[in-house]
Amino acid sequence: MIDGILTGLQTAFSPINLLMVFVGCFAGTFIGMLPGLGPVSAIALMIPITYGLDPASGLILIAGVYYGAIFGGSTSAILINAPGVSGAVATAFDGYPLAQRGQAGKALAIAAYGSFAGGTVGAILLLVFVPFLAKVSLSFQSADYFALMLFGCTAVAAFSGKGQVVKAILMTLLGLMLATVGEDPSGIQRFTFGNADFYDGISFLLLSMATFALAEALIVVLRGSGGSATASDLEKDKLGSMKLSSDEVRDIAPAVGRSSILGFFVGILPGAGATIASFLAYGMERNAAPGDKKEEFGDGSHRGLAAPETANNAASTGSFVPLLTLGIPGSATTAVMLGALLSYGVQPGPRRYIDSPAVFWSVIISMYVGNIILLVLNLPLIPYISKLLSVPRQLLTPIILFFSLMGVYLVSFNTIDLSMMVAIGAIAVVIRILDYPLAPLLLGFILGGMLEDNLRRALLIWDGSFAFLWQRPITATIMVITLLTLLIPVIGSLRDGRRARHPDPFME
Amino acid sequence: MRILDNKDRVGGLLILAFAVAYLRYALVLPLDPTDPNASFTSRTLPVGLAVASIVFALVQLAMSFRGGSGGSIREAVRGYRWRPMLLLLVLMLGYSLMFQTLGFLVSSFTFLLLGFFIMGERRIILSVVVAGGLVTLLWALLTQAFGLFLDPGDLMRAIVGSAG
Repeated sequence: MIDGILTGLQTAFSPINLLMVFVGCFAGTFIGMLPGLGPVSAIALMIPITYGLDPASGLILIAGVYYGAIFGGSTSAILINAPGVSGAVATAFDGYPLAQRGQAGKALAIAAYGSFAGGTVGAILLLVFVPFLAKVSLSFQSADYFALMLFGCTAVAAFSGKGQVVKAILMTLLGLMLATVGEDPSGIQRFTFGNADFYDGISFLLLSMATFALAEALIVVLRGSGGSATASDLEKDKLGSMKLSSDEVRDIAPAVGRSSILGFFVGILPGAGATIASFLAYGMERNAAPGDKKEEFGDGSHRGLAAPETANNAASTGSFVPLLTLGIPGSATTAVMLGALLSYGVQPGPRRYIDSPAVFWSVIISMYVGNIILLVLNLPLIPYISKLLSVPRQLLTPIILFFSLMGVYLVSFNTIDLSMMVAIGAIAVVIRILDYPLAPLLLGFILGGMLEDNLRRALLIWDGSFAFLWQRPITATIMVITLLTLLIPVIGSLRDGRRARHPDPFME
Repeated sequence: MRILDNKDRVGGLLILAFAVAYLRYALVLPLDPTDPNASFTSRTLPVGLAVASIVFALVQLAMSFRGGSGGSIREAVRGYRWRPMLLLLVLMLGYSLMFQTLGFLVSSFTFLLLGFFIMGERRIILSVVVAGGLVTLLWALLTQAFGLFLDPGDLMRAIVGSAG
């Protein structure tokens, strides 16, 4: 492990990779700051650029973009009350009131220090957990992987919130169905209708760009929201001081500590992610706060800002655990990252930890370097980067659409992909209007191929019998957890529906 | 048509229709001729997914009727600005169809210029400078720095060909 870390350090601190982290953090902050464009879109936009790089540098750039986008999302939440990402919604609760009181600089500093602390604790926990889990998962067989992927699919649905469970399951299934388009492992064409453009299936980049970047930009146009801030809102002198007093540091330190650990473990859970972690941390700190401090929540509380910011960064680090150890993404962002890894020819999972320690450790170390760069370089540059928020929406939207289209074109150089992207983007807008979540669709799509491969292999090993589902202890355990994860929220949804039809008179 | 003014219900219906069509094709997918009786064929997963989707879509529909879940579509889209969104969709489709003919430079410049106009930008000089600058910068970066080939387009080829 020590050798691996040293190799990783050497790779991560090479001049080209340091440049990649810096460029990634900077570009990510820019993109993440734009309302409607989150880490998924930021990563998807950068993927074509990474194709010319070696896998380690490409991944390092992507990890930098990821952290940068999260930080950028928080910046727009604090400055103009427009969270660039859902994980930054809780940040706006107290960050924006602070900015309105002329303490935007302080709010940004708290967000940056909280993010840094969350990232640091997350990276330490990652160092402990990843090798351990990678070793355990070496004993996993196809049957266990199949069960794990099924768990990944259902967990996303389970964490999707009240009234959304069945919708999330449907969207996951839709993603899985889209993944079957193209040539199957035995060479048979499925759902291609004789069209050569479908032989390789639908490109994950095309799907992620169409469903996230394109659909988000179009929804903003449709709602007429997300207007740009006026330049005067973002003047440097209006940001105020970025320095924190020792009393303020003492006040937020316990909240930062608690939220780091909570965030990391929530992040590990497939489907939970940064948004749930940030809300849980916010709620936990509000409940734990003494009377007078509790009243400050929602009105510019330092703890209320530090807690969700710390938790969402720690959760982002935690979400790498299932990706790196099992090769299973736990969120839409890590699903896009998995897609990028697969397109480099890198299959993440326990073998990666043993076979390519340089790639494995350099990514983990670079994620930490990304945190440092965000703090040391991005924070002082925020007054200048935030000028981007004052670019008029009427110029910004067509530019975002143009870059999304170019991002897809530059991978395939096929204009049919552009038409397909527009069609999928239009469908994604309808899905968004109908309030169906798109993240499970992407996750199902990415997991689809691997799920089928592992099921095929497991059935071959078990002579066509599904007995592996209950006869292999590891598979059976994961299947029981999967069923519980799926059934509990479904039953809850049905019960809520019944309660809505027959309301309890005493509860009215 | 008030019965269809429900987000959950319409979503459920659309997915049900998709899943039924998908199942219809899944059932007639060709099998591996060397092993038609294999336990796992090209149809296994698609059929399973289609059946599961149909079941869950029916659950969703039942919930929308019995539990009253899902908000009104009409309410949700009230105040939406359809015109610019639809025009942008048409513009993107036009861009994808004209790219090969007009080439990267002309089609991208036109796309941005029209996009700015659709979004309400009326300062022509600013639009031309931003669109022209961005497209030229990207073209230079991709072709000169990254060494990528960007299609100059049939039109440009014809003009250069006739001039030569």
